[in-house]
Amino acid sequence: MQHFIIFIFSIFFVLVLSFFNRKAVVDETQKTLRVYGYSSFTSKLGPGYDLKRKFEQICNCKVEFVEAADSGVLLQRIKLEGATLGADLVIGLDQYDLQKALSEINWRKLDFSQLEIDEIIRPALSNNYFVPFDWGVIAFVGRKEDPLPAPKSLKDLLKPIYKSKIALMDPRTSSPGMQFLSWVYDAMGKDEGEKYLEQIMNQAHSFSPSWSTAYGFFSKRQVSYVLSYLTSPLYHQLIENNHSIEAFKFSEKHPIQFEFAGIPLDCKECSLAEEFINLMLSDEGQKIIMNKNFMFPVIKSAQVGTPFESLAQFNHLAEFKIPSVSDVDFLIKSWTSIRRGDKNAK
Amino acid sequence: MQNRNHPQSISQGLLVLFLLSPFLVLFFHFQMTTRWDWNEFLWALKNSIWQGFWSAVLSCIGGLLLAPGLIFCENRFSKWFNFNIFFLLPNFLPNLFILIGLMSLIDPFPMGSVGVVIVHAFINFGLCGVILKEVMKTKLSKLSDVSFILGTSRGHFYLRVVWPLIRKDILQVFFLVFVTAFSSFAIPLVVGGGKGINLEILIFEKIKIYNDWSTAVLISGVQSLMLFAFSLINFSANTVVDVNPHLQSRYLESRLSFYLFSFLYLVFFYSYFSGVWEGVASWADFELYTEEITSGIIGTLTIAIGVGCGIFALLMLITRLHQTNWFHRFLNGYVAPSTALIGFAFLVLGPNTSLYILAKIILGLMLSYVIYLYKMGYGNYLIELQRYKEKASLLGANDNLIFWKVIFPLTHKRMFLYSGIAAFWATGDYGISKMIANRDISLALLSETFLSHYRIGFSSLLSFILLVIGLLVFLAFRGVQIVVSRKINY
Amino acid sequence: MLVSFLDSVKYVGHLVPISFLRIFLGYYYLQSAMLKYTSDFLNKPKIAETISEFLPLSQAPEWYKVIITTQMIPQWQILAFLVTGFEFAIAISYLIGYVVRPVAVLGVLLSLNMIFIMGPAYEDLNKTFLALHFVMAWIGAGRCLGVDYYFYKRRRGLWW
Repeated sequence: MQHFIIFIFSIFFVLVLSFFNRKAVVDETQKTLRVYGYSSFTSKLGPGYDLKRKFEQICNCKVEFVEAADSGVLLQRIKLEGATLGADLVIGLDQYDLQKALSEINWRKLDFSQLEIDEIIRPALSNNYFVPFDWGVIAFVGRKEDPLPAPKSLKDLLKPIYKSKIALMDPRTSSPGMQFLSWVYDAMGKDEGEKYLEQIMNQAHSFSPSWSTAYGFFSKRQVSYVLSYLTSPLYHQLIENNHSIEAFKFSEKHPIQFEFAGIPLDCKECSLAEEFINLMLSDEGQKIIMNKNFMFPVIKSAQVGTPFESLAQFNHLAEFKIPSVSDVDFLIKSWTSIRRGDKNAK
Repeated sequence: MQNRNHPQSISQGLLVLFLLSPFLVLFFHFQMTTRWDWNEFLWALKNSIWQGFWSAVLSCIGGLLLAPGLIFCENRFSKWFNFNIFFLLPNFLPNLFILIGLMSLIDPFPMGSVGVVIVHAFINFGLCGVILKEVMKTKLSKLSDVSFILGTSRGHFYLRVVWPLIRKDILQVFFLVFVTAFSSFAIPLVVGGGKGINLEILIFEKIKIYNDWSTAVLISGVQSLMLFAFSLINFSANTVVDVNPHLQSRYLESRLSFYLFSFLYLVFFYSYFSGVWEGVASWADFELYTEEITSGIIGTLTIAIGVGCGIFALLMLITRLHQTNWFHRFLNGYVAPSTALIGFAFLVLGPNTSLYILAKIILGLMLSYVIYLYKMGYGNYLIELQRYKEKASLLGANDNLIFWKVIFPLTHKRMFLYSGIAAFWATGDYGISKMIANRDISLALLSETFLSHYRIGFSSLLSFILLVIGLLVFLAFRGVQIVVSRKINY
Repeated sequence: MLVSFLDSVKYVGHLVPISFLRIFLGYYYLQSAMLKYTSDFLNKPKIAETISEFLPLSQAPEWYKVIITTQMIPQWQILAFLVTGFEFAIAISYLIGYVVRPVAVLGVLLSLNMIFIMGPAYEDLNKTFLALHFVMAWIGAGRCLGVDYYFYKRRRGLWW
C-alpha cells in the first residue's frame, strides 16, 4: 500500500511540477512550418533552435525541422516528401548547391534586393530564388605557438616543411573542401591549378569527408593547419578563452562561402516561410546566427560592437559568383581524376 | 515429402527477398540506364581486392596471436570481466577516434592504401581474435590437454594439431574481414588517398558526381555477386567438439599475448580517453543539452534494443529454415549493399515520420548486420547441428519439435550473443541513421553534431556514454540469455 | 532487481502473454496521457464540455450524475488533472510492472467513469478496458517481466 501511495503521489507531483514548467501548449489548429536543413543549423547547438523559439512566439504556428545528411539527400528528400508533407523552407544550401537545386526543384521567387548588406556580398543577392543569411571567409587556421613559420600563400603549402601538416577536405563531401578547390583554380588558372592539386595530393595529411573530421585532426594536434574559416579562432577565444588559434591571410584572395535559404514552389505555408526568412534576416535573427554558427551576418548592423566586426573588415576577398552546374561538374571531375592519379598517368 | 518442404522453401525465398530488398527497391526506383566503364571498374576492383586481401591477412595474423591471450584471460579472469568486449571496441568506435588513436600510435601514419590496410587490420583483429578463440576453445581444448599430458612440445602441437584443425576456420575469418575491408567506405575516403579508391568509393562517386544511381546500384550488385562467387569456394569448417568447462587448455593460452595486446590497446585508448577527459571538463554542456541528450539516449536504446530483438528474430527464422542447400550458400556468400544504398533504399520507401523512421533504421541495420553475423560463425554452427536434426528426423520428430526441443536449446546462447553484439554495434551506428533520420534521434548522431560545432571534447564524452550504453544493452541480452537458459533447463 | 526482473520469466513464464498485453496497454495509456498533456486538455474545459454533452444521455445512476454535474464540472481542471495523472500512473505502472494490482483497480474505476462521461463512441472501448484492468488486477500481471516480482518474492501479500 505504501508503495502504491508513494507511486501515485510521485506521478501527480511530477505532473503538477512539469505542468507549471511546460512550454506553451500546442494548439492543434496551429499551422506547421516545415523547414529542411542540416543538423548543424537545426540542432540546439546551431541557430535553428533559437530562431524556432523566437518565431513560434510570434507566428502562432509550429516550426518543424527536417534534417538531411547532405545537399544530395536534402534535395532527394524534398522531392520525395515535399509534395505530400510539404517542404516550406530550405536552409543551408551553399553557392555550389544552388544551380543543382534550381535544376531539380522549382522554387518561389524571392526579392530581398533592398536589404542593407555589405557591398562585397551584394552579388549573392543577384539570383531570384535564394537569399543568403550568413557568410564566411575560407582560410587556413593554425596555432600561434607552432614552431613552423605561418604559410602566406597557397604555394607556401607545398613547401616540404608543411608535408603531412595540413588537413584538407574532400570537395565531393564537404563544402569548405569545394571552396578550396575553387580557390586553387581561381587563383592559379586551370593548368597551373591542376599541377598544384597534383602536388597537394601528396602534401596534405588527409582529405577528410567532412569539416568536422579535419578539424578534429587539428584539435587533436595531428596536424598543424586546417582549412576552415576566418572566424574559427573566435570560437576558441569566446568559448574556450583560448587565444592561441589564428587564421592566416594568404596572398591569394580568399573565397567567400554563403549559406542560402529558399522556398520550394510547392510549399504549403509559403507566407510563414517568408516570415521566417524575415526573422533570419532581422537584426535579432542575424545575431543568433552569427553567435551560433560563428559566421558573419549578412546584415551589417548585427555585428556592430562584437568581435566579428573587426574581422569583417578583412577585405582581401575573391569575387563572389554562383557557379553553374557544369562549373561544379568540372571542378569535381577534375579533382576526382587528379586524386585518382589519372592526370599523373597521362 | 515434397509437400512438406514447400512452405519451407517459400519462407526461405521470402527471407532472401527481404535481404535483397534494398537492391530491389533501388532497382525499381531508378530507371536502369547505366554508363559502364570497365577501366575504372577494374581499377577500383583491383584496389578493393588489394585492400581486402592485406587487411584480412594482417587481421588473421593479429587474431591468431591474440586468441591465446584471450584464452589465457578467460581461464584466469573471466569471472570478473568480459575481456572480449574490450578487444571488440575498435569495431564500434567512430572512425575519427580510431584514426586519432592510431595516428598517435604510429607516427608518421602512412596515408594511402597501406594506411587503409593498417586501420582495417586494427579494427578487425580483435574480432578475429575473439572468433578464433571460440574456435580454438571448442575444437582444441581437449586435444591441448591431451598433448600437454603426453608431453608434446608446444611448437609441435601448434604445427601438427592446431594448424590442420583450424585452417578452414582461419579461411572463414579471412573471408569475413576480406568482405568488410573490400566494401569499406569511410576509411579509404579519409586515409586512402586517390589511389586507394575502391568499389564503394566508386559507387559513392557515381551517386555524388554523376547522380548516376543506376550504375551505383549495378556496381554494388556486381560487387555482391563477386563476393558471392568467392564464397562458393568450399572452406566451411568442420567438427565442433563439445567443450568441457573444466579443461585447462594449457597449450592454447599465452600470457605474453594477453599482456602485449592489452598494452597495445591501452596505448591506443589513452588518446581516446584523454579526449573523453577533456569532454568531462565541458560537463556544464550536459545541463544545456539535457533534453537532446535524454532523447538521444532513448533513441539509441530504442534502436539498439530494436536491432537486437530484430536480429534475434531473424536468426531464429534462419535457424528454423536452415538447410545446407542454396539457402546456406546464399547467406554465406551474399553481401548487403553499402550503408548509403541501404539508407537511401529505406528513405525512398514509404513515409518518413517519427515511428517509420525508427522502424526503417532498425530494419536497415538488421539487414546490414544479419549477414555479417551469419558469416561470423553462426552459419557454420548451424551446419554442425545438421547431424542432430537428421537424427531427430529419423526418429520421427517433426520440424517444429526438432526446432524447439533440439535446435533452439543448442543455438539460443549464440543467438543471444550475436543479438547482443548487433545491439552493441547499433548503438554506435551513424551511417544509416544519418541517411534516414530527420533529426538527431540517437546519441551517435548528436555526437557528430557536436563535432561539427568545434566541440570535440564533448563529442568524445558522448561517444564514451555510447560505449557504456552499448555495453549495458549487450549485458542485458546476456542477462536474458541466462534466464532463458535456466528456463530451458528447468 | 534486474536479475529478478529477468528471473520472473523463469518462474512465472506462463504470464508472458499477459505481460505483453499489460505493456501494450501501458503504451496505449502513455500515448493517451501524453496527448492530453501536450494538447490543451489541461488548460481548456474540454472535459467539462464532453461531460455536459454526454452525461445526460448515459445510463449512469442519478446520484452519480448529480455529483458529477454539481461537483466535478465546476472543478473541471482538477478532474482533467486527475484523469491525466491516473493515465500516466497506469501507463508507467503497466510498462514497468510496478504496483500493477492496485493500479489496475484504479484503472477499473477510471474505465467505469469513462463509460459514463466519454459518450457512446468510447463506451465499448472503455468496457473492454474495464475487463482488461480487472484481469490485470486479478492475475497480478506485474509479476512477470515487471518490478512487482522482486517485491512479491520478498514480501508476498496481496499487493503484488
